[in-house]
Amino acid sequence: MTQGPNLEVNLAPGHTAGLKLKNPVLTASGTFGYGTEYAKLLDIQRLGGIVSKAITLHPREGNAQPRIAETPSGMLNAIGLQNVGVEVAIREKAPVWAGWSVPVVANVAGFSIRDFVEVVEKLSSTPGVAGIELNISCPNVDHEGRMFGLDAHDAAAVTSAARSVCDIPLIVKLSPNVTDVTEIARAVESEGADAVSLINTIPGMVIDLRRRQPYLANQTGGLSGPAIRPIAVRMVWQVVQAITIPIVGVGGIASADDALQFLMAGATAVQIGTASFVNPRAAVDVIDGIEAFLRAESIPAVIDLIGAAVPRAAAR
Amino acid sequence: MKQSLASVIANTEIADRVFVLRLEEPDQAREVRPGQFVHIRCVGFRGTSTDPLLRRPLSVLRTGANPRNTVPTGQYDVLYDVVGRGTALLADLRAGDFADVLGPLGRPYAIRRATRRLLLVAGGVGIVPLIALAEEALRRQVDVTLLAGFRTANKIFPADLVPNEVEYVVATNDGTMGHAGVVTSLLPDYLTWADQICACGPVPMLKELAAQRRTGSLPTQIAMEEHMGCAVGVCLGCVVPTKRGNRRVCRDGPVFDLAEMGWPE
Repeated sequence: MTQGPNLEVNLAPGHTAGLKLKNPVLTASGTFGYGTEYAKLLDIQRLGGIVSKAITLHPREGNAQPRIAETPSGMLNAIGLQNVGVEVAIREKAPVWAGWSVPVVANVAGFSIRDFVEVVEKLSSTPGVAGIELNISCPNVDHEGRMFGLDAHDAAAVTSAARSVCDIPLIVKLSPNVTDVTEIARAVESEGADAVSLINTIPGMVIDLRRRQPYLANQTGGLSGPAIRPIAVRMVWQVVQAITIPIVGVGGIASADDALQFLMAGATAVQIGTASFVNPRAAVDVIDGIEAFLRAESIPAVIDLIGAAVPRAAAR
Repeated sequence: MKQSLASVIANTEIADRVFVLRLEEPDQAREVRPGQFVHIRCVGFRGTSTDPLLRRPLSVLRTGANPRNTVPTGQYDVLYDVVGRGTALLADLRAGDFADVLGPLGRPYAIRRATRRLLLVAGGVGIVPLIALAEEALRRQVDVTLLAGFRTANKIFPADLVPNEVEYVVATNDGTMGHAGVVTSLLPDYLTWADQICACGPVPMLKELAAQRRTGSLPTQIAMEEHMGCAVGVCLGCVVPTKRGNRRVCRDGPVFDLAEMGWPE
């Protein structure tokens, strides 16, 4: 084969501009900073995309220590959305992104629908921002702190509001902490999301035996890493059978084999998260591994694999 | 800074469950500065094991790039205390093995141009970066005193690994060797001697140092210790509160100006 397999995917085929990636591997929010931090350790321009650290309306200092705890094949984190805020992100980070060929998706977090709308509106008109990913695993202060992502109506409402001010591709990141993730996925699809990403972290806890108290200052934290991978694969496989928009699979991917599971389960692309902490080159290793798999199996394009393990594969 | 497979040259127990790991990685050995650290995988490079998942940050003790020691060029030493599963796995490394090492990382100590008498204050394994710093200071003909506190006699960093020219004063919490008590109880005798202080150890020790050193009276740098995720400034797992808000130990530190911490509160 003189020409390599085609790794291109489009995460927003329903959007006029689309969100075309040269390969299906992005870095996950909160695990790759604003994209600049890892530039010394890998060629970030090889990535399919970068998803930024969550951006909120105002700068946030985040939670007290301890913020992270190692768990079997995983970790808990309760950072508390520490970030520079949307004004600094637009002034200092986006101009850097605008000079890159790799698309940067801005992850947006908020505590009210008004928060989300204000941040999305600002970012969607900012050069250097290729798309928006809504983090709806945030407490809604207008609903007694209930997370937006736990209820189909709340998820639909925030998606609808964000969509109304967002001209660029819009991805909604789903929480796994629900009874039926397909219900939430359908709700955000019907309100105009171009794609969904799943899963966000799973709430967990570690007890400090000496203090006889929860180890994390925040008491609970989000579980990530290889420990959660089978849950994420299962949820992608369920959601792909319920919706028609693309899915970005995320949760414990550390190798190309892991990523291929997600693609076969129905994900159009994947995000590499916690694995980057362990192996800064993880995302690039995954890209190389997917390409090697396609060559070895004589598969001309990665899109030919998407949904291979799904009973009635949704057409992509 | 690079991610590399370093060759294990030796892995030697120098005190009770305290090991010095000698690694060969010429770029890292050349680049590392006192106070910097490397982030090392515990599971070995051949394995695909994900448990324990995270790397461990280890301060660099000495580098062969400094002619003041016997470490061969291209090699450097790190030290670790076996405190859990990750460090227990490190203790299994043997000469000829490889270790996946990311580094050097973090902001190093800086000896001021005018400094002639450098006081180093260590608590436990906090002595590690101060040995590297002492060697650097001696190379620049600065006089060095090292005050070091340990829990008990069998955890003491061996005197023969401290450069001869350094005045090495040891304290143990239980009085089994050296001065009985915490290391900061030694400070009053040395604060007037020094024209710069560099310290590394537990936060209570650093806060006591801050309390004894009058505000602004002596330039003082401290290195902070914190559990880390990525160690490159991304995960925000290792932040410490400072006057300028939460700062990352891995990237903004581990060395901070003491005045930056806002102690005493």
